[in-house]
Amino acid sequence: MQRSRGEKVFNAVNMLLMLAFSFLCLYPFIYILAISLNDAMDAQKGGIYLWPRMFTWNNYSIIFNDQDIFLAYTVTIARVLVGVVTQVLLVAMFAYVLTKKTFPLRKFLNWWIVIPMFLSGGLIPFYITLQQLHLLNSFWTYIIPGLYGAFNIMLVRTFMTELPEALEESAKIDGASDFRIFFSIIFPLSKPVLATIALFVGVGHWNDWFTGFTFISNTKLWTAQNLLLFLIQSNEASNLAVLSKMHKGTVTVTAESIKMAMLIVTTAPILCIYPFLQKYFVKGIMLGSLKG
Amino acid sequence: MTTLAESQSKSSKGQQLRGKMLQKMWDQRWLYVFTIPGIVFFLLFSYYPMFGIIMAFQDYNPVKGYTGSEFVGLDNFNTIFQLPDFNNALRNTLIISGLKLIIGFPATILFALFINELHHTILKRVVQTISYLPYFISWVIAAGLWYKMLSPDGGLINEMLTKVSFLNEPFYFMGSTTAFVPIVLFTELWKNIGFNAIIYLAALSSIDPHLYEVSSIDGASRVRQIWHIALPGIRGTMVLLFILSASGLMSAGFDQLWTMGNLQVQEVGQILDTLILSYLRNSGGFMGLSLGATMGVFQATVGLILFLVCNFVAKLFKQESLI
Repeated sequence: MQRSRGEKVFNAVNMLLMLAFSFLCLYPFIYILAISLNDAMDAQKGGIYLWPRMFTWNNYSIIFNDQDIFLAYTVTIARVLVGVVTQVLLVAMFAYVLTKKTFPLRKFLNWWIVIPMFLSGGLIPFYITLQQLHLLNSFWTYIIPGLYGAFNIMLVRTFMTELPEALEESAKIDGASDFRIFFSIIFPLSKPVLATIALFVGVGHWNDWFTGFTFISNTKLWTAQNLLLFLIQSNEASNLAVLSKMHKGTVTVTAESIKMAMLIVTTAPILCIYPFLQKYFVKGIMLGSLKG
Repeated sequence: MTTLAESQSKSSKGQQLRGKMLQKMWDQRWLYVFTIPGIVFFLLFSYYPMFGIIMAFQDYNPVKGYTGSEFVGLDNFNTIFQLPDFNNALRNTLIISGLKLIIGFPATILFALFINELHHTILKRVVQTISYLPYFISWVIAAGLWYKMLSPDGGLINEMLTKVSFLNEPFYFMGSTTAFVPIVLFTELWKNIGFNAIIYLAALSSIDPHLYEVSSIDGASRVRQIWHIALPGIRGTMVLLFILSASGLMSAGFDQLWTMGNLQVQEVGQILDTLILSYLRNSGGFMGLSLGATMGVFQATVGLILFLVCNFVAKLFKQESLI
């Protein structure tokens, strides 16, 4: 097909616009990365845009040698692992029951999870509830109140409904219990959707700062996000910088350079799993929108 | 009158029935086991906190709890409506989420249309991949990135603006009450536009390609094709998404406003969600807890009403588009 002049101009303008927008999305990350890899005192002079001028790992070595930061990462990783495993298992079991048309509680359970999507007591009653359950200030605050996600249950239920019924029936004839059917047939077959929610739940746990910020005052239980927020919003990073100067003598870091390195280290895991994530969430959203 | 034999057979029928039920329950025992944790979970973390709505009508005392605290009728509501902080936060909430809707909604559609018009497959994929990326970082990280970009000491934006002599001296963007709301709107777009466009892209991809071919034979330009084919093709999606996002008017983006906000810009950046959290954190007396809960109830009630109205309107539109 022959292309008119107007069409060519349109294409060129569109391509330029989209490239400019992509650059805008990506650039802040590049900028911060360059600064975090640059000598701290030199970076203060400004003028670093794409590449570090005086390359150094110092900012990162301060971070990886800091006890508090190390602890915060341990807590975050433990939280992501425990949170993902428990939610995937519990959500899958709950969703499996919702596909059983002969189960008398099915209707009730559907309503049971839908109503809270529209009604809630709000933040302060939720806080009081956690207080009464002695769930403030413990590692389990990260896990227990987030065990189920109603939206995830619905997503998994939709997937499981589409699995062929014959598989289950033949297992039943062979005398398998629901327990057996779930764990050896349904659960393995649901891998695609379970992987999707595992990634979403994992990213959610990794990115969550609100739980630690609101329900946990013991700084030893803080996650990396909480520590980062604290560093950004207060001048605590400068204390860290002063401390590390006293220890190492010659190494120069500034509060700014520590913040920038911490930003990169907190983003890095998301950037690493992102390519795997992308394929799934596009599918997930398409699935959701078609059912919507 | 029933004979002895009849009543005996009845009761045995009853027993049989009960036996059958118990048998069925036993057969489905694993299904019960699978759901019990979920029933308990939603009871504890969703339904029980709903009782907390009572706090809005009480002078809540943590020692006495929901059952022992004194009821004060609508006093708490009267109090919050007279608080300057509350009125300010309510206004900011409506302004920020209103602007997000008015600007973000068409911008997302425009972005989806532009991506859809990229016919270079690799470029299209690259642009999409990069534009989703900011969605997956937390607002803590996003706030950190933009604080640095806009920082008055050595931030990129200030450095560039002073270099081209647009500014004489560095400007403290994040501390400026005039710049703050535009920055909030911009960073919101930066973070979410790519991801939000996915649904429109899905709708656009389901438009019959023959329509484009036929129209280009008829000599329609690309802009005309967008206007007469693409936009009508996603009309249903547009209406639904607009109505649904309009129902979120009472929440202006808690994570963003808490992480980006600071004391200097409280006047324009304090929203209901952040105000309630600050009441919880600094509530010193019990009074603060009740007032914060009351604000929550107000916010949730208006939000629910908006949702129900919007949902109703969405249903009307759906029927129309079906006919």
